[in-house]
Amino acid sequence: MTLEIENLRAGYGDRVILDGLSMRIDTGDRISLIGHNGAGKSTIIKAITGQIRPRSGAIRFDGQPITRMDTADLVPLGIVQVPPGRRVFPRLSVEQNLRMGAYTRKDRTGIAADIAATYDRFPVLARKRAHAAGTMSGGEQQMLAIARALMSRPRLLLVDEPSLGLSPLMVEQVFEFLGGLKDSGVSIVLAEQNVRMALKVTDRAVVLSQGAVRSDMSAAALLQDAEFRRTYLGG
Amino acid sequence: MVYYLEQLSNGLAIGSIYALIALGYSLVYSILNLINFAHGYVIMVGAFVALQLLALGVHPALAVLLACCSGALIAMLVERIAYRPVRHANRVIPMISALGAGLVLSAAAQLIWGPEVRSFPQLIPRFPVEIGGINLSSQSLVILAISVVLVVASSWFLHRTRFGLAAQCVRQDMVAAQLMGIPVNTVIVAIYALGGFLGVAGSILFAMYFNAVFIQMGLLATTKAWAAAMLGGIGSFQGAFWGGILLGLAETLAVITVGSAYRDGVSMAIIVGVLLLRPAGLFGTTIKERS
Ligand SMILES: Nc1ncnc2c1ncn2[C@@H]1O[C@H](COP(=O)(O)OP(=O)(O)OP(=O)(O)O)[C@@H](O)[C@H]1O
Ligand SMILES: [Mg+2]
Repeated sequence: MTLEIENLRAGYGDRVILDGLSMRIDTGDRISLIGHNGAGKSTIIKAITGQIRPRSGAIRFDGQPITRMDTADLVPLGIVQVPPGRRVFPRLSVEQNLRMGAYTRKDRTGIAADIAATYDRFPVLARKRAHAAGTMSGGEQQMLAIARALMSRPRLLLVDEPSLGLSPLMVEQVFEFLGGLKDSGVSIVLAEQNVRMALKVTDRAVVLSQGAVRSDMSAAALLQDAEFRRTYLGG
Repeated sequence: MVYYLEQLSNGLAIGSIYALIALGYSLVYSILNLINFAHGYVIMVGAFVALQLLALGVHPALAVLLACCSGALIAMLVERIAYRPVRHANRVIPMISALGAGLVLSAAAQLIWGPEVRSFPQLIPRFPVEIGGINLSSQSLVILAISVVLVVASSWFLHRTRFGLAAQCVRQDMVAAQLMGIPVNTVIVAIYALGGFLGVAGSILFAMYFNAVFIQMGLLATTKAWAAAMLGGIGSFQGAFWGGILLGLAETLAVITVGSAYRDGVSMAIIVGVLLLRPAGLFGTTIKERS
């Protein structure tokens, strides 16, 4: 898998948010998008997943241009987003939510096996499989939201603010889960306010500024950078 | 007493017609939160299409089926032309464009079929059916049976199939549905089509029951659907069904106690009453707005 973003310009109405942004994501890459509030982290994710139409530039997935494709059509290609605020289907059961994650798949036995595997990993989802998803705690819903996205067997998983509204303990659990995805080989793009946590579960960090990539280096190297530590980690 | 029981079957028949009409209306509301002012006009046109096909000598069963399909098709066109372009606009705007679509349909129907009230052929053989000493009309029973079959089939479709589950996702969170790869536009179009299909089934039964097809049926049907859906709980499938049945019974009661002139007044009174006393309807739950 390769996703190439080339000279992307995108924004809302008259406002240009991304201005000449280029980056590349390969199989198994685990990337943190770093930037201040409003830097355009979510905007990148929305552009990749077809939720906003870029004004210019190109996004290619395995060489194929996907810049103007619809969000729903990207799912069968393997590009799936976990939205901020979780957005599980509140009145469907946990199991139905998982099934809807696999909406674009046809292999019934594979789907059943993946649901079983999800339950093995998260006994709490198994216990509450028949409960309405909306009745679960925020952390459980976040687990479900990620597990639901994985049901489509994505090749690129984009996760926006998974810690939003969760207690510190829940945040730990969610990030442990994200960290555990390393072995599955899925590429991950993570936009997360909690930079410290984000850098623990990703290998690469892309820092945004002025709508473009300011630096792109390993997470470990970024953590050594004095200026970065001052601005994002408070010393 | 026997008289009241006999009337009860009429009430159930007219109620199940309202239920069919209200379902189409309520389905759209449940997914898009839009008052579908065009619904009544779409199904009025469907009834005229049935009449036209019958006049051309098409076999009655086929004519009815084709008319129902024409309702589905017109509802899909209305969605494409009057709703989709303004779906994300302020919610008053789609209501106005729906009303506009309704007026266009009404004017077109008047151009083609004229303003007169037409009679509608009785496709259901009429004979008295005696059950336990009570004389019921075969027509009422057949209408009730057809409605129940259609309602049960639709309910199965919406609650037990993969597509139905997708429709529920669109209803609960359109953005998340899109993120899961659910083709949201296709689902919405299909819901409109189903609503148009069921609605025309209702309007044909209505035409048969009252032996009349006329342009103002459009507004009348919208009012009835609205009243039934409000009564049962707008946006709820079950609510629309039971709301329709209750409305039919209430109207029949009004007709036999105070006279048929009050029939339509009852639906209006019910809209007002429900809005005042129980805004969510009998089966409705107030859905919290997403923060
Ligand atoms: N739908 C929208 N309409 C108009 N402006 C928007 C919209 N969404 C975001 N913006 C603006 O675009 C800019 C970039 O937003 P974006 O959500 O990409 O930032 P972010 O880096 O994800 O920030 P945060 O850390 O707050 O999530 C912000 O100034 C924001 O106010
Ligand atoms: Mg953001």
